[in-house]
Amino acid sequence: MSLELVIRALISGILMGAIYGVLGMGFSMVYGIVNLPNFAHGAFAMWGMYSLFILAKHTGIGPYPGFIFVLLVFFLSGLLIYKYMFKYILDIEHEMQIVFCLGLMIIFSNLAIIFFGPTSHLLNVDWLEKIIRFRGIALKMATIVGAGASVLFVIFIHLFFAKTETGKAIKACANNRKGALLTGLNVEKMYAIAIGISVVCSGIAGLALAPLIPIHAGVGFDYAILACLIAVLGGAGSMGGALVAGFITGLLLSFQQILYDLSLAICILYGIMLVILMFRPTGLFGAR
Amino acid sequence: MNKRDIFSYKLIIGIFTLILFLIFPFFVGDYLTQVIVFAFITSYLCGAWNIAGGYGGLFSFGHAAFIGVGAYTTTILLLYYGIPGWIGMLLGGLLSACLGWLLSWTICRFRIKGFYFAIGSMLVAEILMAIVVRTRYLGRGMGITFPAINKPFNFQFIGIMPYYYLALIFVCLIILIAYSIERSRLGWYLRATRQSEEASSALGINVTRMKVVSMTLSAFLTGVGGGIYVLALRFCSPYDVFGIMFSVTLMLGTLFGGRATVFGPIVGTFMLTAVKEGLTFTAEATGGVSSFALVLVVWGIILCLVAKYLSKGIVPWVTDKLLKISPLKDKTELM
Amino acid sequence: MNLLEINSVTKTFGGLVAVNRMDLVIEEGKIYGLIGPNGAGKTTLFNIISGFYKPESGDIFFAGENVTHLSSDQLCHRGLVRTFQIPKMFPEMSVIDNVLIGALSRTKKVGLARSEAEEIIHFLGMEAKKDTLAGSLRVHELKRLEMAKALATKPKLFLLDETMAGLNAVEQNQMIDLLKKVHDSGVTLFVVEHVMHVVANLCEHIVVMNYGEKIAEGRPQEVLNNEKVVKVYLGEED
Repeated sequence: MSLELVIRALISGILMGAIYGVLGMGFSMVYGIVNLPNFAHGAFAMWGMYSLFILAKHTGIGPYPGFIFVLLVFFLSGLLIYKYMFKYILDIEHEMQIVFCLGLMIIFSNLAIIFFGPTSHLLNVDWLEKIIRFRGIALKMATIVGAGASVLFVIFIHLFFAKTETGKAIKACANNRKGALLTGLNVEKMYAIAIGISVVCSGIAGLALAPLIPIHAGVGFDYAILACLIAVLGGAGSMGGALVAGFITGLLLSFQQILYDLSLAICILYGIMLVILMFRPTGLFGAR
Repeated sequence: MNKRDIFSYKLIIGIFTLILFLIFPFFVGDYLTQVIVFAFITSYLCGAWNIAGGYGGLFSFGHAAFIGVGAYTTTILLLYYGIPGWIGMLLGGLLSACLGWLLSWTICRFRIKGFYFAIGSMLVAEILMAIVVRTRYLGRGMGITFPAINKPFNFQFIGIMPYYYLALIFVCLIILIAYSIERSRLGWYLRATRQSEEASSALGINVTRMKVVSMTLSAFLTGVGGGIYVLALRFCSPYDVFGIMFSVTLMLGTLFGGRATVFGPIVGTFMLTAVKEGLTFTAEATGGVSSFALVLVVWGIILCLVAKYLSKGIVPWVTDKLLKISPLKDKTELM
Repeated sequence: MNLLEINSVTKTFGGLVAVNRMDLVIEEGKIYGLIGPNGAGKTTLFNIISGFYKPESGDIFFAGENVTHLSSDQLCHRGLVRTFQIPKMFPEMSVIDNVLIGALSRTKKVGLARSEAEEIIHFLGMEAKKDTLAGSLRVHELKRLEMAKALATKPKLFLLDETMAGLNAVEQNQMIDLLKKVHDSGVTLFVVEHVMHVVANLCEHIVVMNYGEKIAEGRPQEVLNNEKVVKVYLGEED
């Protein structure tokens, strides 16, 4: 194992980690603020990928200028999903919530199959395929762009929750729902915004991943599980934890990939997660 | 209407239905018979899930793990070593039971609940799938096809009819098992545990033991079911038997029909099968949309609706409505 | 032989010592009371005795057997059962089914258990509500159900945690009669109570706890006039 390989795995792991972190953060956000295990989270990543694909293939616009529009659509979708769906399942049993979200996941995945067909597509945008060479380490441009976008968004989220009134209000709702209601906060609006943001998280992860992996409808399910796992590892409900967990996952997968292929890497990841689930289900930073 | 009238009323309906099912294959074509065979097998599997998920309150999202273990045990033993299918099924069931025992013991020991159990159970199935996909000996992702030969002792038959009657036996079996559990002390204890673990403990119920027993029994039955499934299908593929959609099918059928009821899983499965066949027929007739995906979209919608509005299931809903119009006061009399 | 013997039992939660080297002896056939201000450790002691908590140190002997590390279901089989301050029942089962669960601890046959349950329902005068769902009962009915369920397990020692809480004067008197009836049928009672006249009326032997320790014990007249006990309760209304 050469040093070059190790450094490559390290960098690749960190970059991918940023993307996984954003994905996991979205899930943690919903679980922490609204107390809903949104198993359909990965579906939006899938839609993100398909959106980019459509933008690249069918419109004249290059993929990345268009993505702002896509993210806006995602945000609005999140608001609508809260207003017309999630709002009504907040009070049912936890297991039924998971069942509901699983149902959503199935609907989304199969709608994707209906619209896009069951085969995989590959996104091929020239400038994203360029290989950047940096001191002998070769990286795809797409990875850097994707990671960069994720990091930017994470910073944006952090600032949003820490500095803006709305963001702080949402955090208040998370900590104490009744208290928030009593102080006149519009909890419904807060929840809706939180879900909107989480959908955008998922979408960004999808947009970032689109140039890197084959796009097919089953991807949604895979990323749904991954998002759950990352969130659980970091402590379901802790956004910062999810970010850290994302990096750990990225590094784990990346290092395993240099030893063997991705499917085994994922299998081992699942195994590790299972063990963690047994001994420390609250994850690294979680309290739920 | 007194108790004795209800009893004979139900018995007559039961026998009538049974006779109907017995002569059914002689009047319809092969396709429909095959649909019913797999509806029977799936009903059986739903019933098996119901023992852990319904009666036991252990809502597993990864029961496909047991199906897969049973399926592969049966397949490997039969096709590689010539061991008869029915032995393979039983051994598959035993292996699944061991896995189930391990799983439930772990859950109790580490107090894994709700969401974490759901993910964990899913992971077990996914990990097993990934292992099979990578293992040449187990046929990898392509799966293992069964030769179409006739060896009744092995449970290998050409044609669908023998499997029809086998599957019917399985359904009757799971009905009997569910029925006797409901009436036994185990059934009462499981009911109590579902409603309040602390109150149960205080009254002498070993909650851990209840969970382990229900999961292990469920795993055994599911494993055996996995065996008959691949025998009837003559094909064993990891994406099928270990897949999340199989786990979802078991969950959906039982939830829709009615958790913790005897007939719920069966009613649920048959209704969903009807929906599926109807949709497939219309989709192919109007020519266009991939019927497979469409069915799943509809199932997804049903899943969502059931989760929110009908979480008790169809059978209890119907039973409640019947109770309101009948002179009976006591629910247990209807059972 | 003493029915229950507690030797130097200590229970801590983090830094807090909830029960501190508690010694206690309960003889068969009597009615014992446990009193003390809020936070004295009474319910904690009950939780320890009935197997819901494990003590950090000390032993508990029940009918001569060391039961310190047994769980609550194991204790139930040996004849030690308790009721909860906030009744824990099976909300979606009827009253008689709730009692049935208790009866099933003594027999595997559901039919037999059901007739046992019927007897207990009759004994406690609950026939009227026999088929009502437990979740829709009122407080005093729930308390009665708590007792019925526990009685169905045929206990030797019956721990009752604040049975009078939430009951009005009439209901309290009914409960006292009920408890006496239960005692007469051969069950040893150990009762935690705040209501003084109930304790004085009912109990033959009282133990007083404060800050996790026993500060007095003896016959009601002795204990309730004990200077230390009065001081601890100064300001508490009867």
